Amino acid sequence: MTDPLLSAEGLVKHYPTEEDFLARLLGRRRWVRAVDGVDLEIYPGETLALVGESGCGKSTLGRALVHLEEPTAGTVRHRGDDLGALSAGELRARRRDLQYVFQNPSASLDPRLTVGDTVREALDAHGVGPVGERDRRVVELLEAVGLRPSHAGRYPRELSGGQRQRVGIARALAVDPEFVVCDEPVSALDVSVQAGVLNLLADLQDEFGLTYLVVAHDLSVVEHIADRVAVMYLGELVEVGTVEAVFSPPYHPYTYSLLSAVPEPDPQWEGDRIVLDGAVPSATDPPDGCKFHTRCPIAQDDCSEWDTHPDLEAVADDHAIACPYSDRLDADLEIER
Amino acid sequence: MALLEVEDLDVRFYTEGGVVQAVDGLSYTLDRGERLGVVGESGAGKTVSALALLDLLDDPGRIEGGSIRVDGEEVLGATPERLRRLRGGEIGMVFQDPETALDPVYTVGEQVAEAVRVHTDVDGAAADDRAVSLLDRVGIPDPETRASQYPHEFSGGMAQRAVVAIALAGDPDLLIADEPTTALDVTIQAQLLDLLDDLAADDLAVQLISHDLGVVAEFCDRALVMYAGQAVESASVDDLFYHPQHPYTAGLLSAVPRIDDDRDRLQTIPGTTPDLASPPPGCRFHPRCPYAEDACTKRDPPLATVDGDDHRAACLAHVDDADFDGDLDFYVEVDGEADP
Repeated sequence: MTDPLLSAEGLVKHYPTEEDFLARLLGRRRWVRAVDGVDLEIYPGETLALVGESGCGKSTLGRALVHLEEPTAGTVRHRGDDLGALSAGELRARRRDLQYVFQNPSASLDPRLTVGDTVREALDAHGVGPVGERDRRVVELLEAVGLRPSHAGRYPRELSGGQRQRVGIARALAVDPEFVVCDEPVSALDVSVQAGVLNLLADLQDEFGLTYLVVAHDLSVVEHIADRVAVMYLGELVEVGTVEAVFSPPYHPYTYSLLSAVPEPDPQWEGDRIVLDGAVPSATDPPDGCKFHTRCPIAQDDCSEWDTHPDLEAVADDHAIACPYSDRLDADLEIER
Repeated sequence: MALLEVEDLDVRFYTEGGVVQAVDGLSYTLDRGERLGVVGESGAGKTVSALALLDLLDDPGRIEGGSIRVDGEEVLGATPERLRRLRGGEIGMVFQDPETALDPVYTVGEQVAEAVRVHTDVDGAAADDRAVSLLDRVGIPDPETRASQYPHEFSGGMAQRAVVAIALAGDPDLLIADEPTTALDVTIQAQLLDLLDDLAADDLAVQLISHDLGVVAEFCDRALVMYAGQAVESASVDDLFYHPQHPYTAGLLSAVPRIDDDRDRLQTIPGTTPDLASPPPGCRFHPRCPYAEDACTKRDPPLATVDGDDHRAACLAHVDDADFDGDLDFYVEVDGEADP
């Protein structure tokens, strides 16, 4: 098997909660355990999707993987080098390879810069190519993402949401990266526009040999674009595997709940829907044992005990589930397949 | 008589860039207890037409014509007092973002009780009790405690339930829900749709505005597809999803990624929605339509009946005297089997 392009080992990111001065003085500061011990490998040329509900830490993990956030503990290796051990200058040079496309295209573009300046800024910041050729390169990049050269003179407010997202992608591609984190790349877009951006991401991957981490909450989008999927719950991975493996049995009960909640665009669809109770518990004070046990449709008595805290266990080649009871899911929920 | 009858509604926005025809000749009806889905891309006029029903348009938007009848009574041009009773009385409203719909400085219970006082005869402490029972009705656990909490103490899903409780305070006949689950996770969305399902079973009519065709397929009886300010197709959800009759509807359906489909590429609808300050002549969809012919650039197709009373589409292919030669050769595949 090829070496991973990027790998995380025991990755942890905790944030202090915003609390008053007195709490801090008394050492009663509390921590949001956004990412809580994640091992993950991403291979060259693949698209790995990271899914889960809001607040599960998926965006934080995406940022920590490219060291936009300094991890609290654990390591991220890029081509075998520990990103945390690099000097500031070395990390800066490494950022050319590791790019990030932000969720909200309206908020991540500077309203005072034209589209051309936005893309050019990335070229200038990293000193990509001779200065005299950069304007030509900007035009090439805009064409690569399906915009016209004339868009270079426009401001973000003059563009549609889909066009702004394409500018964000052009900016990330400007420095010729290997790896791009796409944080909810289409969630702000209409379905007709979303399809175009998803097709574009696939085309660019073929053309430039890119590796993607796509952070997404829409499982039908994920199934469409990803090679592998990692399902996250409260800072931990609960299931990792190929799309085919994760989207078919055996399931982690959380994955199954997520999948069954997706509304089918078919009025005559009749499936078994699991509606989870409540929302994701607070990441400042997550449940003991398996963190999902408070909402799990098949929770057993011992799931709440810390020493039964489940690790990811391989159930097949390239498919791991962090639940010792996943094989009981169908029987317990009386699902017939 | 239908609960809501909208006829030939025109809404225009008078902007510096020109007059924007945001809603153009929109007509539809909604029966008691019926669930109508309104779908379309951003800018299609879904939200504007809903706001117009309640006379909630802000400047520079104006209703320029048409008729809006609730239970047979014309409410377009009604007195401000009548409109105040209509909003939150016969018609309750739920918007996309629960955080902006709730006032951060009042407890959730106070906000529900306020709506009870405005829209019913219930007053004083009885209104507070009614607020608690409404919070209970929308599935908020431990409603007495939750009533005394502030909106920031509510999760997104719970906040949206509280907004539904406020909308129910006046015991409405119709609930207009504008993208009520768009800001929520799919798991929480499923919970909220369960709640709306439960409420609709009690004879509450629901007009659900959504860009998510899956949500509409699951929840609604009938759907109205809007494009560039106009209704382009109206049908039962079964007919709409299995036998779409407008090329735009077919395009939208094919752009949706679905779990278990193995298409490599998603279909896209080329181009973008037109600038409504200067819409294209003829059919507004013709610049993006793969079936467009010369006639489509000249004549704006009416919403014409196709196979049966209840299925209508605004496409010249369905207009008898139109100069349209081609065929709409799309079909829907279900589980790999063609169902033309």
